[in-house]
This record gives sequence, structure tokens and C-alpha cells, in this order.
Amino acid sequence: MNSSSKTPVPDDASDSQQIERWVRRYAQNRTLPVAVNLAVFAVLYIAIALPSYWGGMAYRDGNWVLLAVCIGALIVAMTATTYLSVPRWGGQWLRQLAESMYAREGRVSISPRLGKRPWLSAAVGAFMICVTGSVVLGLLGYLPAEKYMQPISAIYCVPFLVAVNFLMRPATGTIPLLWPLLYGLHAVLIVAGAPIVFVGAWEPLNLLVPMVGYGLLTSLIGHLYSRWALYHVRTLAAQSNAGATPPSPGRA
Amino acid sequence: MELDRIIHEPVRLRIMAMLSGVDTADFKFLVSTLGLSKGNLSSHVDKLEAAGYVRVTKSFNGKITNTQYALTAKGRKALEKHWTALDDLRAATKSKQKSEAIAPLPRKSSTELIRCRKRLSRGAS
Repeated sequence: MNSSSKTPVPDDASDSQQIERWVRRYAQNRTLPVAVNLAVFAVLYIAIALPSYWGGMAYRDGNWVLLAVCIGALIVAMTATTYLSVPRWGGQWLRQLAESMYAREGRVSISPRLGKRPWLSAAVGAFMICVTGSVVLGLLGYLPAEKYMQPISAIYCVPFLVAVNFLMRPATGTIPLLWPLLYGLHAVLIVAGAPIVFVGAWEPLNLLVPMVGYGLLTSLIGHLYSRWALYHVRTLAAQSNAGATPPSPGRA
Repeated sequence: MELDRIIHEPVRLRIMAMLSGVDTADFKFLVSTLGLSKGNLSSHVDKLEAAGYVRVTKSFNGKITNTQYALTAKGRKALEKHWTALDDLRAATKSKQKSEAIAPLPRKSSTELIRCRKRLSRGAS
């Protein structure tokens, strides 16, 4: 430790202080893994929904060949969903795929605070109860027409997404809050009568498009922001590298 | 007001700043963002590790080594102290410059200056 009386304050000291901020923003917004997960499960959802729909039609028309093909496709899709949902099987593969996207940049991590884990489990549990409850109530005919499926789901999806964002902090930033915001806005627009509802055979898209679409949009915005943050980090780091002294073994 | 020489070196300050923004960062990330050579980065990190400011964890992903770095509690404390010292120094420099710029000339020197000007003008005429 030396006295600072003869030590000049470097011009780039404030740049170094900014590096901390931008690195954190970069790490919080490496959101491509979320986009990959959403895209994979959206494809699986479609892979289950379409054979189910066409299989039903084939059964009613007596087209047994098409029915057999649909059942085969359904089995493959459901097996893939199960495989990818288990963390030790396909979940691991999905994680490796997502990590490979940032392989060239290296790894950074921010962990959520451990004390919040029981609350996260409680939030996921409550969400699953709400999803199951709304499906059961819908099948029993206690919920209004399909048109309002998305607004009803917004009652529990929006608080769930907001809660998860806060429970995952500081690993997440504020950009992921765009997802519940857009989802809630979509619900309000439907209730207000905006013509953004799918009808007939396209009805399942009323949930899929807002959930996956806004999720993908949010993660892409997050990814773009991480590019911006990385650019800042590199610029700030490069600004004074020219003036940096190379290390010498004898001097600390 | 004291500055820690180990942290004050620009590259090490940047390494510390990067690590303070996250929980862990690996060797590849630090090399690519800081634009340093591998040897240069290793040498600086070694000094930080020797000072007890950085914790190094090595793991294997198959046959590939992955080296992760994290700030220790001591390192985080030292960096915070360093930022505070820099802020104080900056504030002190600013106030010194301000006082030098505003301070009026002493009465004696201003009258001397007027006399000189008068003598000069007489000499010119």
C-alpha cells in the first residue's frame, strides 16, 4: 500500500467503474438459451397439436392410413417432449446446445440468491396448480368460451412471470419483465374487443402465439441488449489497454 | 487516502471490475473482452490470486480445461475501498483546481501590477 499523494488519478478509472455495470448487464441478458427452449417446446407443442387435430378428422372420415400416421407422429412428439423435459436426459442436451451459442465469448454467471429458492418452488407449484385448474374447469365447461382463454391465463401467468423475474434476481435484469407486460397487454386488448383472436382450427394459437411469441421477442431483445453491453465492455476495456503496463515478475 | 498498488494497475483494475459485476467468469471471457494475450492475463490473475483477491477454480469438460475466476470477499472489499479512495482523490483534485482558478490576486501584487503597467506606458510614450 502506498500513499496516493504522488499517485495520479487515472482518466480511465471511471471507465473501469462502468465496466462493472456493463458486464453485469451483459451477463443478465444472455437470453438465447430461453429463446432456444421456447422454440423447441413450441415446435413440440405444434407436433402434438397437429397430429391430434388431423388424427381426429381422419378417425371421423374413416381414413385409417392417415390416422395411423398421426398416431405414429404423436408418439414420436410425446416421447421427444418427455425426453427433453427431463433435465438429466434431453434437458442436458438442450443446455449444452444453448451454451454452445455463447461458446466463443466464454462463460459468465450470476447466481440467484439462495434464500429465495423455496419461494421459487412455491411460485412454480402455484403456477402448475393454476394451469391444471384452468384446464379442468375448461373441460368441465365452467370457464367462458375459448376466446377468453388467454385473458384467463394472464391472471396467473403475469404474476408468475413477474415473481420469477424478481426471485431470479440478480441473475435477471429488467428486460424480461417485458414478457408479462406484453402478455397482460394482449389480454387487455382481447377483453377490449381487439380483433387479435384466432378462431376455428387455429384456436390453440390463442395461447401459443402470445406465450411463445412474446417470450421469443423478449429474449431476442435481451440478446440484442447483451450485444450492446458487450460492445461497451470491450470499448471500455480497450480504451486504456494501450496505456497499461505489462506485468513484470518482480513487481506487484 | 491510500491506493492499493495491486489493484491500481490498469489491467488488474479491469479484471477486478469485470469480476465484481458477475459471480464467475472464465478465462476465455476475460481474454476476449480485455483483448489481452493469454500469458499476460495469466500473469495478472496470478498476482491477484496471490494477494487473495481472486479465487481460481479449474474444472474439466471432457478433456478441455475450464478455468473460472471469482472475486473473494477480500477482493470485493479491496475494490470497494479502491473506488472510494479514487472518488475522494478525484474530489480533492477538483476542489484544488477550483480554488486555484477562483482565488483573487493579493492586494499587494495587484497594486504592483498597476504600477508596472503605468511605468511601461510612460516608457512607451
